[in-house]
Amino acid sequence: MRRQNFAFLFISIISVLVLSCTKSTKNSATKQLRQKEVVVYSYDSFIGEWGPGPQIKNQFESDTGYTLIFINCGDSVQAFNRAVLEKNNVQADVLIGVDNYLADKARSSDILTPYKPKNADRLIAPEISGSLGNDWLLTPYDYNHFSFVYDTKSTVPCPASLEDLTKSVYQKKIILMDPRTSTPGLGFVAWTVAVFGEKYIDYWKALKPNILTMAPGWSAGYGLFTNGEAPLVISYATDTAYHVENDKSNRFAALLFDEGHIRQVEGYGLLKGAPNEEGAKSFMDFMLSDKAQSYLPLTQWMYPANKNVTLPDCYKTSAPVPKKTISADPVQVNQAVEKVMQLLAE
Amino acid sequence: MYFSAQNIYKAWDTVTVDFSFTAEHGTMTAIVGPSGSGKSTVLRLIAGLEQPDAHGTSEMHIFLDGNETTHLSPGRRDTGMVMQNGALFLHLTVEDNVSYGLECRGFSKKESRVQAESFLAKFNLAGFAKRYPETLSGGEAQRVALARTLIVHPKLVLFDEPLSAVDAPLRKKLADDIRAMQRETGFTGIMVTHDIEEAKAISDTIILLEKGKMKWQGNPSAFSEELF
Amino acid sequence: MNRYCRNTIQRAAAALSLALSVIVLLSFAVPLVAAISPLAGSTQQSGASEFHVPLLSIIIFTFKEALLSTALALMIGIPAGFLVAKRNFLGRKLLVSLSSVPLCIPSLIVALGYVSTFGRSGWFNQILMHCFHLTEPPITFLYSLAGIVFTQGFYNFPLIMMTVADTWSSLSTEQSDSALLLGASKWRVFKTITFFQILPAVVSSSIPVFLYCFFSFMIILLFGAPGCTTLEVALYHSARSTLSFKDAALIALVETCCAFIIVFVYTLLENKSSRLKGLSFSEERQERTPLLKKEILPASLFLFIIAVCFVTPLASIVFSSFCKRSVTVLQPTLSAWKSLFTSKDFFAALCTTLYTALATALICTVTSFVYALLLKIKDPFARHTFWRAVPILPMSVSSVVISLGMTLLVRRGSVITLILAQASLFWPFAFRQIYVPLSKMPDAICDAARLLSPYKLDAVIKIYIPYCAKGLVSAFGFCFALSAGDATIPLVLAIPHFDTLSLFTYRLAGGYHFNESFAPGIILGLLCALFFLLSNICKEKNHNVL
Repeated sequence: MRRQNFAFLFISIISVLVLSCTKSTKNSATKQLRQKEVVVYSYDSFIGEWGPGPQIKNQFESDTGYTLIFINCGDSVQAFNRAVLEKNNVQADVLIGVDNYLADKARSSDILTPYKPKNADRLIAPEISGSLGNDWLLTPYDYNHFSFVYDTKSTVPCPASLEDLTKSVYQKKIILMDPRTSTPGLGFVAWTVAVFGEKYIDYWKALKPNILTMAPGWSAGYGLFTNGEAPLVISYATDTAYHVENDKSNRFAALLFDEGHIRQVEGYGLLKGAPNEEGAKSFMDFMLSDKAQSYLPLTQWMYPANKNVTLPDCYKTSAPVPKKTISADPVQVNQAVEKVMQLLAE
Repeated sequence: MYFSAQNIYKAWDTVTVDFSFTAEHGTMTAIVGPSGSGKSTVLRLIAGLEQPDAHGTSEMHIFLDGNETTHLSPGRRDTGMVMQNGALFLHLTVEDNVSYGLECRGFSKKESRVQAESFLAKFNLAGFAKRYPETLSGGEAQRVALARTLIVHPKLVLFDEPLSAVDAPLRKKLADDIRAMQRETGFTGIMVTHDIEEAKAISDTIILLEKGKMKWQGNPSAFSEELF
Repeated sequence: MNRYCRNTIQRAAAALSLALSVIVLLSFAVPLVAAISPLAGSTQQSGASEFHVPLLSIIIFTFKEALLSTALALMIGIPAGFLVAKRNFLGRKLLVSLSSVPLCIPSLIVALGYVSTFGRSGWFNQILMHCFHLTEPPITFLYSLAGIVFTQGFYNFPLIMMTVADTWSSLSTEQSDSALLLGASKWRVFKTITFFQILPAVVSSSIPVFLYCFFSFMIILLFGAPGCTTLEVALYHSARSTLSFKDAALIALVETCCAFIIVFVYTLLENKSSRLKGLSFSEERQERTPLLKKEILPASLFLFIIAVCFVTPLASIVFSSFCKRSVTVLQPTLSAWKSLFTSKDFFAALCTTLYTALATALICTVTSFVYALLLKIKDPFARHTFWRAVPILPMSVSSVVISLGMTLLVRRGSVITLILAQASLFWPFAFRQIYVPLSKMPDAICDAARLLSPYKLDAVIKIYIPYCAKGLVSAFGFCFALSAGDATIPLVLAIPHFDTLSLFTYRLAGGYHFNESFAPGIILGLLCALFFLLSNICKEKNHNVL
């Protein structure tokens, strides 16, 4: 009898605990509540306290009455992956942070539904929206050019081109990011493919001795740069503006190369099967508005896709704009990543 | 006197050891007393494993065969010690345990093992060379410990309750072995025990220690249980 | 309370404990199978399907960096363990209190501490370049295998130091005294006797150090040569970046098997050497003495090396939290701390960390006690290798693998899935703390307990639990630190409205707010150090219980 009691108690507890871990059936009250929420998969630098997320959230909630929930999935690639994993049972309404090198993957993963936000044609320059395809599966919200940032107090000469970076004077003087885990890293690989074509691997062979480290992400890499570990780092053309605005210094200069620069365009999209499609569309419209877009320059340090937004002074005085924008085929770029990493591992 | 320990002094909360004694060459002195009377500490002080406490102007002095050993390190006092449970080196074989002291004195491994083998035979432990301590009985372990101690021919051998870990039927045998070894090698022995019969069986002199002080000293035949 | 009530409560507690343990074991097994299951499928989900580097090279490099790092940690940890166990010296308490740091401060923060000390523009290079008028920094080892080994070795040595010190301070002196009397010098006594006595502690502490280095990710990527890949880096890339699940499954399987083999061998060695310890039943602690005259110089040099290579990078993290970086210059300011203590998110993250870490620690302690007790009772002679291997397996699996499996199984993470995922991975660390004292419990005591009460659970509550009380407290503190410092599992589970201190810190560091990230990183370290201090105090109070 005692053993039976014990067994009964044991099984009951197991059942209760297992059931509490599993998804409960949604009732109508929960569904109603969900219609008042807009859930967005995003990345940490967007929704962190210093990102545009909090301001966008406050403004959107105040303007529309919706509750905006940002889910931090890590970096933008991880946010994308989460959406792919949930494809048939998506929990969020909008995915933010898909750039032009992930766009094809997003397309082929079939996780997005086309939606063109209000006034998108009028607000976004065609070359910007064209970078993400013109099918409005993705809508651009910001963009920037990749650029090398140089410490002007360094003793090494300032490089004038990508080719210059292979010179022996730059041995162990360049910080890059891992293209498998970082968009500037991937952007640099794309840049070399765009400039050197089939000969990009020869370029990387020559560049290899000059690489100090390939940091896992932009933050770690840029942190090493500002710690003085190396005088050159792959980053964005607006970095000078950042230091002028925050540090009142123009010591770090974003360099422009005549070969041209790769542009990164970041987009957001409506997830297929979104639980609150209406709310999602409302958010997507809001994201392109002047108000929302005006938060981006001084938080994301990216150019807003909305061309009507007035840029801060530091952009006008200290953010160099490349004369030439070049691009590379995303499929070629992904193949190049594999070959580059293989070369570097030898 | 062949051995002399003067002004042994060590103080704790519960007891203070304070006495002196001597021993003739080739004799066995047994220090007996109840638990907590400081017996094992006396041995450790003689061996140099502990330092005495300061006691006014009196300093502890240990003399052995005309030489003062008070300030020598334990390994240089020509003194061996057989611990209560043998304290064999568990990761070494019996042979390696016995030859350990010889290797420390510069003998080669081969020479040490040859001598070890012969000592093991003396202690009826032939065939035990490759065994590990954990496979030995209490009596066997104590004999290995004894062989390990005596192989380096110390002048003074200290015994800390040598028979307590041994089964009753084997105690007499081991006690006889210790006496036989003493006669053969001529070492001077000091043992501590709480067992009066053990002390009477092995020793030439008994010292009764009570609360750290010498209460009685004399021949085992004159020792009375009432003193204890 | 009458006997009937007591029995009922005891039985309910036992049933709950057993149920929790089963769920924890399932929380490990099921996601593991899920993570490896893509191997059985025929198609790739997405992403590249080729390894860019041969798998064998990756395996060799992973073992190389892990073994070298562990060796360095041992070289520092064993003498440090001696000093902590046997000697009183200036800075001893500081060194002991810093021993919990490796478990809880995010590795990115620690890496930046090492960069600011030994990097090309670090303190050392700046001083040397200034003194010797050099144009190039002379210390350049950091961004290489040497840098990885150096950082991981010094970062992890406290784990070895504390375990070895714990054992060394309670060793019986009989064997070493016998050796001294036989003429052995002190060095010879250590080499031939004491080392073998502390060997179980050495092996036992090497296992987690090896695993941390084996599964290391951030330090490898930051300090490794470009293109440098370990199994964990390859797994991370496949599972989290390219969604190449088949590659991820293969790497997960290979990584788990490699780690399992090493841990299994270590455990066999540990079991074999545990009988050499010669601990006395009463485990009386030896008194510590001041440094001997001839020890002062070498000990001072050794402690100086620890101060430079371990304490300084940590101190630079603390220092940097009171600074703000303006270009390359650090300006003193309390802004990072002010913004931390005025941030609602911080306090929410702190509360979340406390309750999830407490829950995880409690579940780990309960699970490991139940398992250890069952092993003690059902397999007292250690005959059933399978059941003994069960606690080893979670230690051989990286949190990325379990997170991957959880993600595949549970679409939306919750606090409960987080706690279960963490408990499923961390309980073996608790098990090791509890099983060692429990296994040494004399059979006579167990038999006496069984004979003296008709109720089996009385023995558990009145005898077994008090007997391994020290181990239970250690286990709790250890698992608390592991849970509080874990950022991987919460990140992958992406639980809505949920933040922990480690996620908070990770987000700040990931957003280039390093000086701001050092402040919560320090809070995390202090929280774990506090729990370690409390558990050490409990251990000191309890060490004479039996």
